[in-house]
Amino acid sequence: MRQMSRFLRVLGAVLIVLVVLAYVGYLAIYFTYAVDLFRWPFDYDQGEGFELYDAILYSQGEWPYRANAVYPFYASNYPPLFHLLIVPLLPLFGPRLIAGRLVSFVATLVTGGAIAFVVRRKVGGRFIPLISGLAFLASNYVYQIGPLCRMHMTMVMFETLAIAFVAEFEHPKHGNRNLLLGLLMLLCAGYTKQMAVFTVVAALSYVFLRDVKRSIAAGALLALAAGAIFGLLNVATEGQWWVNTIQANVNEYDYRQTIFLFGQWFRLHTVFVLLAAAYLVYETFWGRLSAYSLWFLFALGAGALSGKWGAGFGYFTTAVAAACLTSGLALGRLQHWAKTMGEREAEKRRCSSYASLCLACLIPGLYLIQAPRMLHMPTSGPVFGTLARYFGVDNQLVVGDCTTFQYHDAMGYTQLGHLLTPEDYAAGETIMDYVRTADGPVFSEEAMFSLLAGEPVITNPTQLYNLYNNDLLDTDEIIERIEAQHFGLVIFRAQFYPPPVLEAIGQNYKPVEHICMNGFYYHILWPHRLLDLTE
Amino acid sequence: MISKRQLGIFVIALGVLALMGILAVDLLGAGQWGGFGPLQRLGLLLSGLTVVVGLLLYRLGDRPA
Repeated sequence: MRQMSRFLRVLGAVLIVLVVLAYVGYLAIYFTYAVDLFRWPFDYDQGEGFELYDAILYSQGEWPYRANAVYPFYASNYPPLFHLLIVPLLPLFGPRLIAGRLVSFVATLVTGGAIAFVVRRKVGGRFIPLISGLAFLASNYVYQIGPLCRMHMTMVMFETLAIAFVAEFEHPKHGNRNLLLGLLMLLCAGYTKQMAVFTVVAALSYVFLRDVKRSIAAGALLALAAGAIFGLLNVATEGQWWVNTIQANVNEYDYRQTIFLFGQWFRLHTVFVLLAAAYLVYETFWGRLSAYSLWFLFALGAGALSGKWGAGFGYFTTAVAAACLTSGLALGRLQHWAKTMGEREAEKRRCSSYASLCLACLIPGLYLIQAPRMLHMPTSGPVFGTLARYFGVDNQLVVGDCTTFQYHDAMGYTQLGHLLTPEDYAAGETIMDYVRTADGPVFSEEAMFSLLAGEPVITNPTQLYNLYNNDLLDTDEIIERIEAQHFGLVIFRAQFYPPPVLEAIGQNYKPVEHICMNGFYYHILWPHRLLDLTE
Repeated sequence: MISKRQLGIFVIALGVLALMGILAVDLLGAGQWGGFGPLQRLGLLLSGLTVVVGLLLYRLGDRPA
């Protein structure tokens, strides 16, 4: 028996070392990717440049919620907070994406830290809190979106902080303070991205279950503050806030995409999801529902929206955060049971001791089973190349539109996650040559080409597309300008413009070059008038 | 403070409402499919599960939810 105990102790220690190595390894990969992106001056994900442009507009005292039917046909469809957080960094970095990428990256680190902090407070010890926090940063979804100039991860940070505060609203000394801070974080999350509404419902449901009166007061206070800001924004933008952030976000829904993404999310995060779901069931029927379990449940609602046109796996990042946190609590609960099992008799004490030893192996074992399910890594270079060969994924690469990325991801095809190459930088410079020598404003599907050349940003394609699909866009002026060949250059990537706009461009502009950059073809089009001159 | 029984009643009501909504889709002629669509089948399964969870909670009495 003593030998068995010693064996379990040694095995547990070895497993812990392996788990820490695996999750710290993921953290190193995340930092490598983030640093690589910080240097990249162009859009890595379509939409990054538009988010930066919103921040630039705020820094100039202008609203990004504008009429889309008039030149420059640009408006934002997102709330302002993320862009306002970028504004103080603009004097430091200039109109460069690194400003927004840093905000988002730091937000993911804060979220991971908050998860670890909450688990540490509830469970104690170091191993489970550490891995719970690192697990969030090891998720394929967080890795891919985290260092982008997109607002999503900043919303997740505010959501996590909100839940952490609201969970402590019954604190004997600081209950009211915690509730108020929680409400403030919910307000921030909602004004970072509209999807935070699911976390708002989770937090208020938790307060409602425990204190009906306070939940009604909290809900009313939050509604009043959110409503007042909403009304002020709408008045200040002459109704464009409503059109661009609410009406334009009503998109087509494909339930098959939702089912696919639910399956992918579960496949990638199986152990965390199963532990969190088991903890939810335990609290529902045997314990009391916590804010964290309710958050996990309601975060699935956000995932259910992932079938919207333009949505994707990012809609599951709140559910990933909730699963990492709640799974840590579930494992803590198991540890607690094992410890309290043998409080009285000697026989029980022995059982408790063995149960604790078994758990000391089982818990790192579960984390170790989970680690390869999320495998994502660059596959070239002296370090990553060797590791990729060791893991046998050096040939399982992600194939882009015009290149094969030296990157492996357990989720399969993805447009994000790979590192940039010297060829990508050269291709970017070639496109910039076209932009700098353009004979007229540049009609680009990505904003960074125009911003880097000091040119005006013209159009937000997906916004125009959404408005067009909702019968909210008058395309007369944009088509008139295209037909007059007012624009000196057109740059397409995904061609997410309304069909009449694409048709008008097809009739008045001609492709001159297709440039492969970052795995995508960028189509360069010149106006017919310019081609007539050169011919 | 809400009890498990009260939460159970709420969850049952939610499930029944969802069930009625799913059936009403056909009566109103909404949706993309002529008959009972795949989303409706999924909704039916989820709302049925919701009612079962509600019933189980109801049986747990006055314990705090």
